[in-house]
Amino acid sequence: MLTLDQLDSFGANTKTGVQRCANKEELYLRLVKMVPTNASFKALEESINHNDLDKAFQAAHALKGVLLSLELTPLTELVVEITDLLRNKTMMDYSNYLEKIETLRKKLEDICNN
Amino acid sequence: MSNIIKDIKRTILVVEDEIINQEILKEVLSVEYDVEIANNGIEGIQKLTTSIKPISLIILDINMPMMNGIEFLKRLNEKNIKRIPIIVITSETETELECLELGAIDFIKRPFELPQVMLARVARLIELFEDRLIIHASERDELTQVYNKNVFIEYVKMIEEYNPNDKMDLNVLLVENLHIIHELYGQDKADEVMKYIADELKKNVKAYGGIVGKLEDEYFLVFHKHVDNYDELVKHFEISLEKYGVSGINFKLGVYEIDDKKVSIDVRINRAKLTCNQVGKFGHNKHLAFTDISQNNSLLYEQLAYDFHNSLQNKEFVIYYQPKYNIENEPYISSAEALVRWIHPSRGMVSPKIFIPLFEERGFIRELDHYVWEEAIKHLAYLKENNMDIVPVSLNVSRIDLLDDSIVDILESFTKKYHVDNKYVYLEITESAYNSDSNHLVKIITTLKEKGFKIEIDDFGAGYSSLNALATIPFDVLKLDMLFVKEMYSNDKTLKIIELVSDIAKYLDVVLVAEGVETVEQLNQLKKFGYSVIQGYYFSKPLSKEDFMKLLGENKC
Repeated sequence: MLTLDQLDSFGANTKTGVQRCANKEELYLRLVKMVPTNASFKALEESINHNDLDKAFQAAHALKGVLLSLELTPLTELVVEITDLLRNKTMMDYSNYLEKIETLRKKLEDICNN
Repeated sequence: MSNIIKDIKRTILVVEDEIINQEILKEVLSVEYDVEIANNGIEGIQKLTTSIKPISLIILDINMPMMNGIEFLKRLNEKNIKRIPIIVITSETETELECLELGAIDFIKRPFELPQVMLARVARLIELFEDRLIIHASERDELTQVYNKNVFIEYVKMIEEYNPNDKMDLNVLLVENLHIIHELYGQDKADEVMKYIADELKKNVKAYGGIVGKLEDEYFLVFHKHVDNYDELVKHFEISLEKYGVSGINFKLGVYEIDDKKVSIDVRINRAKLTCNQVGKFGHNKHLAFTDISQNNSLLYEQLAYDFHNSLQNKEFVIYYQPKYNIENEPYISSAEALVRWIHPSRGMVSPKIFIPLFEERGFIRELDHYVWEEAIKHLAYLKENNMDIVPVSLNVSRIDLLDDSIVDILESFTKKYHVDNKYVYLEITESAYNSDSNHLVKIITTLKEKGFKIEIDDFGAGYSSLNALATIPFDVLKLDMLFVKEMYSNDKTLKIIELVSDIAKYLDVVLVAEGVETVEQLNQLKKFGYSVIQGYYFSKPLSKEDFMKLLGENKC
């Protein structure tokens, strides 16, 4: 079963996250479990691969909102950076970012599935 | 906001595609609100148009598939749905301005603030918005759509607060001869004229950075920056009326230049109206300034009459006490007469010689008398509570007070309320009161005496002689009119009469008082004649409550 301790060691700021969910730990954990399967991860990867930076930005931005809300800090930091790059339509190789994001997403998924 | 509407559970529409954010918002908001969720702008519009319950607030995400937040806002504007406050969720500062322009009133940034903060913000916005709607509905005069009086006053206050150094004029405009239009062409036409004038007034006043309100009937209120010369403004307005083409319609403008902002807005309005009513009496101008005519006596009276109720409420009528000294042996204060003084906010001390006759004429005197009675009786109670020696207080009773049976109940209600024995209350009744319905008068005075109040015949010898009054009115004290004392030595007859009155008092076994005593000669003469109580500047002028208490503290009775 997923615990706050596990998320803390992942680097999340669970204290604020839980507060934001009206102090309901159970709601917070339930919402965190929904993150790894969030469609925006896939949309981000696919639109970058198709060089559709607009769509990629949309996906990154949506993802950012969710991650910020739940205080999943390490993932948030990466997504904030990539969102800013995409907003400015920076032409660059995003694969490094995608890889890092995917690693953390997988890590979170593993924790969630325990 | 009143509690009745505070207790209703309101509905908030959340337009947000991300399920995790939906869940958080729903959880937080559902503590106090019903929450409707729309996954995008299209669903949002649908919810708005189909929702049975009114939506009190919308929380809107910007990035959404199908229809994003910006589109949603644009759509609302097209549909003219502006009556719902919208908070936009954003992390993109560049869209904020666009959202504001499209009607959003606030933002929630991601990550969301703490639930308590969000709830407080939402509650405040709903409250402000609902208040605004209520105010908008009730702030205008129904016919002319200018501000009603109360709202006008609020705006004047606000404008003055923000521009404390600007000189402003508060004016009243009267539309004349509207009744003629009404008779000739009917109500609808008269309404149309009023509406036209209101619109023209608004246009004209706008040029001077002002506001327009409605006072009553055909009176408008105007407030704008000070104008030195009104000729041009008035000419302008005349031309607009001529353009309308209804002959016979005329107007008068009363100008009140504000020199002292401490003068309440109500008073200023009254003065401007007063001035307005005087237009035409001083020449052919259509406008007149308060300062031009405030020297005029009739206007002074009008102003004082207008100010009466405000002054009463603001306790600008103050009770002074003139001690009466018993001089049988070593003089001491045996009682005091309560006298009313008017500390007028702009005119300073106004003489009772001016306002008492005026208030008698206008029918305010009973109200004032009741106020003085209560204040004086309250003061007796205060002395008692502070363990000071108390001496009886004499209250002036106007003729009109005695026409009304309720005087007994009114006086007793005060003495009961403040736990003061009736015997400490002397009622000074002028002899001339006897000229009216004497049977009724005697009945009331008898009742008052039975209740323990002391009856004092005031101004005895002034006006008509009324020995008959002495025979029929039961009384305790006889007070010689001050004119006799003043003219004591002008001829032998006066002196004789003063002595004669003393004999009457002895014969009737009542206390004899002389007032208006200023010199030691007068005092000695009166003492020789057997006058036992003296009131006058020789001993003391009327004193403020505080000074009177001080003097009373030194009194050896």
